Amino acid sequence: MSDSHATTHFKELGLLAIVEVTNVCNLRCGYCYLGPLKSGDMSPETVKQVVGEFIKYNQSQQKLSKFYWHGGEPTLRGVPFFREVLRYADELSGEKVIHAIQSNGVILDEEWMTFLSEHDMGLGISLDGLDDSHNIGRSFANGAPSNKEVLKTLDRLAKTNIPVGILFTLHQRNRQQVQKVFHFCRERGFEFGLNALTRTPYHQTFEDNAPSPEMYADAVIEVFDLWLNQPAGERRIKANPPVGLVRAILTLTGGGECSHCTNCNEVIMAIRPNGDVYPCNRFSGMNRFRFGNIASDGLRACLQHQHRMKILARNYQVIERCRTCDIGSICNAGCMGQAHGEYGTIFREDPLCDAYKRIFHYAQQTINNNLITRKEVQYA
Amino acid sequence: MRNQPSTASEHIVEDLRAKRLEIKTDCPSPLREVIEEIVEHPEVELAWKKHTEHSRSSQRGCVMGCVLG
Repeated sequence: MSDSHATTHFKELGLLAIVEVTNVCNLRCGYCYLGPLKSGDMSPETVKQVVGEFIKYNQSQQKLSKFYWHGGEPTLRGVPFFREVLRYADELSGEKVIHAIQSNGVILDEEWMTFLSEHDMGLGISLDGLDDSHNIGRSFANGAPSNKEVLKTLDRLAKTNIPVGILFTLHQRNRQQVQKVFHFCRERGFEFGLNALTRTPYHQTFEDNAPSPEMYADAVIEVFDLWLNQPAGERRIKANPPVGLVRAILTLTGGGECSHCTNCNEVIMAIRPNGDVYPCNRFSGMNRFRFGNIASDGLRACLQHQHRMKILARNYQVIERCRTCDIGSICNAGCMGQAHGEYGTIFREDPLCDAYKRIFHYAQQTINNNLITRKEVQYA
Repeated sequence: MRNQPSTASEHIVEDLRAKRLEIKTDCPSPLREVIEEIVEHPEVELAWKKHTEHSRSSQRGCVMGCVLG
């Protein structure tokens, strides 16, 4: 069942920090946005600076702080590291701070489960298929498959109260797994999210498996129908993009999907292990998108950096193809990181543009088909 | 001038609140829940407009390409 009503609360979120606490990873995913870089941890001092700067800034705006703990593989830093980080954040904030962690799910043991459960910490796990199609893009450094470890972890998580979201990255070789992974999630009460594999600045060989806009649209529409037609009386799960699409159409604000926000950089920042600040992980390490360093420059200077000002100028009205598009104000030109990966500039439409047109029109039609004009009202 | 969607999506919530439109009785529950969440709770619509934490479930998963919360 949806838990959105039971746990709804409405405090306004501040600037969201995606914190890469390490470059180190136990997997070698073929589409990793960090490319070949696999060494370097964020120092405890830098972590404290990040937490302190963001909490202080968000409090000055009277907003809630939220941290997405990322990597590399963030769980490699261990439970004691995160226990200290969360304790520090709580102590500093004096009010609720929201934490979520994105993991490959390989080393999550009982200690981790207890910790996540105790702290009501959201957990995202990447799963690209139930069979070998997961391993094609997500193997260990020695080439060994990782799916058995991940599935074992997910079976254990299904027996806990930890809020789990599965992130399925669609590529040309796992298209047939979309439906299977959705049902896997529904049986276990996990949220399902589908992303498309997109190009990174490193142009790794595996990126040639990026799905075509047509394949991506087919997959999203399939997920939309799976989400929509979950049997009444049985466990239902939330799925994205579908929920985000409906919200985006009804509110014209992106509906919580970062790809369709007016400008995601108004609300997100990514911090590298060395403290360098970027608009999002998709730009990590690219100097012309660097806003500065959290330790040497501070967050406020990063917020005012000329690179950020340039990025904030992106919206659908400054992109020719989007300006005249009938879903321009809903789609908001898609992901600027994906546009940059494909065309080398953020001032282009997302390369999945043709897919978004199909998907939004499909969702819009579905909404319209389920509404009716009241008979007694003269509706102009 | 702001582009308009092909159908009047920006009026749907307003018309549902004013009872000029209603959700069909056979509307699938997952869709109904999302529409009602916005229609019955103006603060939720505002939440998306102002980027507000509104749901425990939105804490899950990777931010890239997924929900912000």
